Amino acid sequence: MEIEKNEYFLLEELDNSLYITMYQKGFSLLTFNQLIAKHPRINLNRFKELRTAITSGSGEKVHIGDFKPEIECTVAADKMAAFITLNCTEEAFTNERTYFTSEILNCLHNHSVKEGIRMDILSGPLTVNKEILIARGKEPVHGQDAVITYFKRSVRKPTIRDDGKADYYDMNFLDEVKMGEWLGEKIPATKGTPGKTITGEYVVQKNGKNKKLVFDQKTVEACEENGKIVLRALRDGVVETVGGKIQVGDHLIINGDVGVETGNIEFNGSITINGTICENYSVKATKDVAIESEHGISHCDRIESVTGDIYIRGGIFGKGKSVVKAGKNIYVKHANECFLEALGTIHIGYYALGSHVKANHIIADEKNGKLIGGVIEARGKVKAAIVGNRLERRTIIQVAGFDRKKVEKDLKETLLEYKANILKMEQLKQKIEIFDSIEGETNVHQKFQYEQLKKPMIK
Amino acid sequence: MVTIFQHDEKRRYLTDMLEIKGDGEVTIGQMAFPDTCLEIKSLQRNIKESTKGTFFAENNNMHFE
Repeated sequence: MEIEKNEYFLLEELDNSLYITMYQKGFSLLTFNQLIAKHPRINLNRFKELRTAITSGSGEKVHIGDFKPEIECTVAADKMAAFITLNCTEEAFTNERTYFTSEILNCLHNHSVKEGIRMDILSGPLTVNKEILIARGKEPVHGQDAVITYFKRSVRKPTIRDDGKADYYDMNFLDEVKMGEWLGEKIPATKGTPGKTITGEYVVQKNGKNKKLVFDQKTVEACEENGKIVLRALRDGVVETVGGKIQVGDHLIINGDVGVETGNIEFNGSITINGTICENYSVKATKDVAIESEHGISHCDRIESVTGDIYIRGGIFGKGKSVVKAGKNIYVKHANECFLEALGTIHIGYYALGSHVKANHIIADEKNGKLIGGVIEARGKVKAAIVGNRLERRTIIQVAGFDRKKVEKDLKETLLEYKANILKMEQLKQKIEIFDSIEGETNVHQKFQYEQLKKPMIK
Repeated sequence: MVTIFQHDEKRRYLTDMLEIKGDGEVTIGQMAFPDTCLEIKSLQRNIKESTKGTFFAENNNMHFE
């Protein structure tokens, strides 16, 4: 096909290739720009040959480039988008709009594009010689992972405040709940929707990952409410987390003093005493013990928590005989002439006076905490603002110390075991996720396998 | 799962121990009065003048800073 002919050359197309035959020298190379504007389908890509042809004017037919199609169509590698380029002049496009629209659709059809064709763009003001997005696939909507929220337990951190009249030693200690109260929830995972490519193939979505609510089934129930799974307390008690499981622990509340009316108290669970413990009486619990009276305790016999913490808001006057013993930590405003022992840390708000204090760590408040007289025995560290007093009362601080190398070795081994267990748990989780994804389609044998897999997760 | 929590608890305990200065530490933030007797491991020190700071045991010596 002849494209352009003048006294200098003949420009023609043959099998989508562009050829020039120069009859004479003297044609300026720059003039070719006007030629390209006039014929947008021209694609010069053999400049060396063109230059030689122009300078020699030999009369030979020389291959100088390609002849582009009227409408070029490209499809993205992921088949999620198609683009067209109209290789024509603005004038030609305007004059033959119907023809071009039809040709664009033909071109898309030839490239198997059948979905997501943007008819709004096609019927709108198209720009020539520029790549135009003409079709877009439908992206898959991936599912959301399940979201789990649990009751947030109070952090046991004592605060000391002074309102000018009295000093207070406060701490959020036990989290009480009533039957039916909220303990957590799960927003279930969603499945999402598949997408579609412009060539009509489905694009599989990723379903959201399921997560398990971990709770004690004896004291907590899971109910479906407004599309969520909500955990609610099955009884009154205190919120506890044991081995990663949320549960409601037994809680004994004494709205008064422990004394003649109550006798000595021994309880399997946690105890809150809103009053005090009278002289010579004792309290023992397997879990936490809180004595909330701001007036403190005088001359009680014994307070013991087998596996938990003890909190004495008002302090203790022991007369040399009161014993306070905890499986974990003790939080006390002050201790006068008593014996405190904990396997964890003993926190003292104001002072320990003439007391025997024994724990892994003993921490008296950094601004107000005084250790005056008595014996302070720790394994790791003792911290206090003031030790002893101006009367130079003898105060003995003994730190048994530890073998750092052995602790480092222990830590290394623990971390290795911890890591191995985490890995094992992750592998189990992955297997369970596979079963979860085919929930409802499993046979008896698979259901059995699923239950077996879940066992170590809920233990 | 319980094993993981037990390991985590142990890990926290051991990390906590390793944060202690030396092999045992006594920190006095404001003042230790005379006739305070400090003993870390088998190392003893009687405070004769009011002082403040951190005492710790390391390599069979009691250090103070």
